[in-house]
Amino acid sequence: MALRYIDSLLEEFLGVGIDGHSHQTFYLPSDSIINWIHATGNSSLVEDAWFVPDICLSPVGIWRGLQRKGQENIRIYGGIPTGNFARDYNMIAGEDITIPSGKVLLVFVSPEFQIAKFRFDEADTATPSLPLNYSTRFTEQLWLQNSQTS
Amino acid sequence: MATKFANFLKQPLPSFSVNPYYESITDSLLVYTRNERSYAKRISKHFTIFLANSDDTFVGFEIKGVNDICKAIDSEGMRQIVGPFAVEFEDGRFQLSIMVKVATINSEVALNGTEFELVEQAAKGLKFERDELLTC
Repeated sequence: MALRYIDSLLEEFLGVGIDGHSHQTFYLPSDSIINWIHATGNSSLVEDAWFVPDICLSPVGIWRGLQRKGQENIRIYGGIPTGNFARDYNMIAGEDITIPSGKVLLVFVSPEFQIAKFRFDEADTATPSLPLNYSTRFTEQLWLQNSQTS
Repeated sequence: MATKFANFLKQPLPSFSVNPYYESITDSLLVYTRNERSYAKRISKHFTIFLANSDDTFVGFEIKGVNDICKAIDSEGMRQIVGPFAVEFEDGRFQLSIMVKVATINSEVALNGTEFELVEQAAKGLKFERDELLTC
């Protein structure tokens, strides 16, 4: 059972910083969750992985901290994927994008913007482009898209 | 453009297998028991389950704060809380079912009976070397 984490780079791609508009490079190590997803043949998570760059580039909200010891500086990017990354690589055509209804994609990154993990999560009932309890579940809200603020 | 990432995602996959993954940055242990599109349902700050998008059936679970849980299992206080589960070490390895038990204490959302049985079933028999999980 491989549980060791080895930091070797598979890819880096451009997204936005925690202010929601500056340029920020995100890092994806090869010996990380993406390698595990592939090695375990989890095609469902591979489908989700196609949407990770969308969220790093066009999040709806950015938060800091998982409210657990040692997790205070994790960044969480959340939103509804555009499908643009998968579209760029001909994995989906036109508007044919399968986003589960009532869900948002969360991408968890280190303070150095290394992708740690990602998953679809329940959406907030009042603001369906944001995660459930988004205002209380994380330590700090760093940025929200203008249209999400009242 | 993230061409290497895209090419990696396009590679053919092996058959699906259940193999837990320890994610060190967020100190969490991920277990997927089925190859099914899913979403996360938070049960507590230490526990999340994954449910199928199609019909909300159980797909997997996540134990969060693994280091804290390992240390808690070690402590005398936690032994008193979880009773016999805290002492079920075998050859110095953690049984995942014990960690599940600890992680679900003080759940904010109740697991239903079926969900809990499926989590326990998935966790049964999975063991980890202590040094592989304790990183600090």
